[in-house]
Amino acid sequence: MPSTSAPAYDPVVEYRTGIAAFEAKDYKKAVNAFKHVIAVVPSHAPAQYLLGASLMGMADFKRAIKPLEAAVKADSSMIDAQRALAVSYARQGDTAKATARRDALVARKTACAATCPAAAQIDAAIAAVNAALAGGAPQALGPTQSLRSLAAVDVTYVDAVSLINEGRYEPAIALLEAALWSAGPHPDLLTYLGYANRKLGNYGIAGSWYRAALAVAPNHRGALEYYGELKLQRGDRRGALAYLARLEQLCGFGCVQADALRVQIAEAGQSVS
Amino acid sequence: MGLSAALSAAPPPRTAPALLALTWTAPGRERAVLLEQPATCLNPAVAPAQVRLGQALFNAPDLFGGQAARAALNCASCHSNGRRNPAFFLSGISGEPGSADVSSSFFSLARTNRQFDPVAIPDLALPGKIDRAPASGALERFIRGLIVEEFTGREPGAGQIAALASYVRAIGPCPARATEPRALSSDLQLLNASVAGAVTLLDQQDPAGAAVLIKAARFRLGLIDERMAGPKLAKLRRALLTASLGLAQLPLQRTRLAAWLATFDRDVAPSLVRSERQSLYDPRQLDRWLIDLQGGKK
Repeated sequence: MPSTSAPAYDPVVEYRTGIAAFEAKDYKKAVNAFKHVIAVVPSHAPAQYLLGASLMGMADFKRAIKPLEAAVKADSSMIDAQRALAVSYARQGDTAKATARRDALVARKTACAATCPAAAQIDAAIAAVNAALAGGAPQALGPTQSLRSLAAVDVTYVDAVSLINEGRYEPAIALLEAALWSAGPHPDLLTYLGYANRKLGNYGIAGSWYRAALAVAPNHRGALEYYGELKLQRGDRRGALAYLARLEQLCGFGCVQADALRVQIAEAGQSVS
Repeated sequence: MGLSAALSAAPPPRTAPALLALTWTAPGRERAVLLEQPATCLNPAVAPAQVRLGQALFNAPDLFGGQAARAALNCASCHSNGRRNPAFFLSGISGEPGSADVSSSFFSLARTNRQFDPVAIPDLALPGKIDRAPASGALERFIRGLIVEEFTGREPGAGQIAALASYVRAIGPCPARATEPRALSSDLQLLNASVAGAVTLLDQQDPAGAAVLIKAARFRLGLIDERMAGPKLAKLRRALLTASLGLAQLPLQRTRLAAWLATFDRDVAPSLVRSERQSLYDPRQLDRWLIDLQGGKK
């Protein structure tokens, strides 16, 4: 059954608090806020990374490693997290792991050739890891990703959904993932990450995004509808009906999300009643 | 506010409850939008029953499809009371308040130009680029294109298009006043028009159109529910919810719909009217609510 309990903290608000504290170098406050975010959405790679980066800001490299490993696991393409993790390993004296991380960055640079868009970022990351391995003082290890304003997030969201409507799912996913940096784990972004991945046939990934959206906002109508559709698509009619029941409970004055899921279930060939 | 908030129709946890109309309202214009609307004087020479049906459809979110329907947008979102909503604003869709990019892929692929080129929302009381003469049929074709192509709605029946065109033809400015209150009576009148319109469309053998208006009636009950905020009005909100669920379960039959409306007018509407001054239709109550919404800052 879909969860109906709201999280103890609003992760979107906590994320913004964390960003503001991080930018003000109030790392203790930032750590607290990012911990609240990942307690609800552990798969939010930017929050895991920023938690690790905040701990690094407090020179607590030992505790930084766990969230940084989680960030890399959630998003293996995040260069900032790979850099920070390698530096933390080096600062903890784990030269082997630091070297392995650096070599992975070198391999990535080689694979994408010198002209790839991330080449300069990878070079800077490699230099930071080498400096740490050589025992140098930690360099600035904040995000290279721009933390854009909230207004820009809305524009990004509209652009991403427009791309989805055009069937251009991969660029939509890239836009939405980028927006997660500035918006935090906003349930609308998470829902459409699930939707775009579902359309690409990435059902497992889609399910994890929908679950993340519902962890943040258990009553999110779009996430309930689309997760119900995913259940149906995967042959779990009972699961789809549970999500429809939840929507009908929420939509006492009607809503298009319940109507759409009801139609999908009916079109799947069986009565909903 | 932003479109993402509109689409979820479910705010993130622990934020103050928002009234739906605020989703597409420019910051700073909230009070004006919630308390007032442009004054509209309908031309009595245009068949009143058709105009009333058209007005109900004009306010029906299910006339549209796709993202517009998900945001509960309807014609009146941009054309407040059939006129122009100067405060309409959606990030990524609007430029200045009162504008919209209707050729965005966000709404439809049929008319997309992949450019951000919002245009000023026109006032339907003023002559526009579309010939409104009934004989030309141009207005009917334009409205059909808006619904089906611009906002990916289902193909409307001929009776729906005719009624919408009649309403648009009847819209006129009022000589003596620029605005009029957006009061409970406005919503009750639209509720009534929606249910009565559903009966008319059933008589015209258009059950799909009738279903659109039943959903519009339930949507209207939801808008009234939003305004009946606070613990003192909980009983009224329960009555509104019961009325909505009852309407949803009714078979699409003339007599049943008429009976529902009569019961609502007898058992619920008078209590709503008596409580209007305690609700967010009242300027003083709304002012307090807006201060709370903005975090207690005046």
